[in-house]
Amino acid sequence: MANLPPATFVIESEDFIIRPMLPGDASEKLGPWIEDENSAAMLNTHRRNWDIAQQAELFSRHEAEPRRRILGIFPKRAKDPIGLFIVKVTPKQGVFLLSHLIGDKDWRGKDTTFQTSEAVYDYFFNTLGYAKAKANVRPENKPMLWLIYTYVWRKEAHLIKHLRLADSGKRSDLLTFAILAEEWRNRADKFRSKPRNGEAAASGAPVGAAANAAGSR
Amino acid sequence: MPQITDVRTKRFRISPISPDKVSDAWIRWTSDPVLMAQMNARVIKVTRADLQRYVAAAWKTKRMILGIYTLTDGDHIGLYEAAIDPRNANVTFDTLVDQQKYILPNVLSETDPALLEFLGKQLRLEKAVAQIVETNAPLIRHYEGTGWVKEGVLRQEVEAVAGGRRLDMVQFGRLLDSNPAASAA
Repeated sequence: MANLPPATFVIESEDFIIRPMLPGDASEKLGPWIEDENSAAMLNTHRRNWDIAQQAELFSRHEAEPRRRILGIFPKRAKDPIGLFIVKVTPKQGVFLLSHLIGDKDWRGKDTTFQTSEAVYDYFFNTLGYAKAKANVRPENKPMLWLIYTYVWRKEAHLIKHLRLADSGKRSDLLTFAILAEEWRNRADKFRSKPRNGEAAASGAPVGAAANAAGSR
Repeated sequence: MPQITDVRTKRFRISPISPDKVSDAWIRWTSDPVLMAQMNARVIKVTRADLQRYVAAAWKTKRMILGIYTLTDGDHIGLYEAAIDPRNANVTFDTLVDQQKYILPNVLSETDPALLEFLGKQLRLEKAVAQIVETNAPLIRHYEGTGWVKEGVLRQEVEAVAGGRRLDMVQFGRLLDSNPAASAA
């Protein structure tokens, strides 16, 4: 059995702080984050400009949900987040389900997903004792699939017409991917985040030109 | 939670279980080592009050607890737990049949179609889902043989209740006919 994440915690990578979002983190800068389809689908909501009151309500609601946390990705020395992880945990079974969004377009394609994901996996596998990470991705979400297929995720299921989309009401397939803790610990060197000294960062970054990322519920 | 009425087949009745309808049979199943091992559940001493609390909590969280009963003598011979995901119009099943008395596919091949039709046409649900732990071979064979789509194998998805290892789950899905007009045609 794994542990629930505590009420407050901080995960640190070389360039980012990752921590639970608070109502006070709501900001106009997050407004455009759910204007594209993949991003809106991640939160299973309609494409729109995300107003501050709705952000604050969402962050406030999840503060009280120990099994479903919204983690903001904050560049060190910056006030506003540039992306999110949504982590739904099942401690009894040692499984966590991860969704991810780089909302600020200026930070896409810059190694952000790779670097921050590594720190999140380390925290949930090694600090909290989870045995498996999962991600659900719509087949239409090509940027996220590119990220998934170039990392150590393995496809486990193709769920036929599993989702009813908030925008259209149409049903969509869903692909389920997973990483076992031992697979992650034994991953090849090219999949390990390294400090930016010399050529390390370039060889370790599978993000490349990938634009955006959004996942599951 | 929607109102659930009885669903009848040629030999069986599927009825919602309220706390006052917890049966002796259900209490007995929780101490059946073969059945519990198949379901990756611990054999524990469960009282009627424990199960009544479980049932009451389930109905509050959009999980329907349905009993399978024989029409001839009203014997309680199995359970469906059906968790509804209203956002996606999906329903996820956990299923149990008393295999000391009944052969699982003989029961479910009759009750599944009736229940799925009810959930689709009456409750307008659009997809049924089942995740079956690898130790439950009879139920996996049943789903494989009755038109469910095997959508994948979730590796090491759950902890085994004994032995300290992790077990796979087999994921099945089935789209439902949610058009009420179809039943009238």
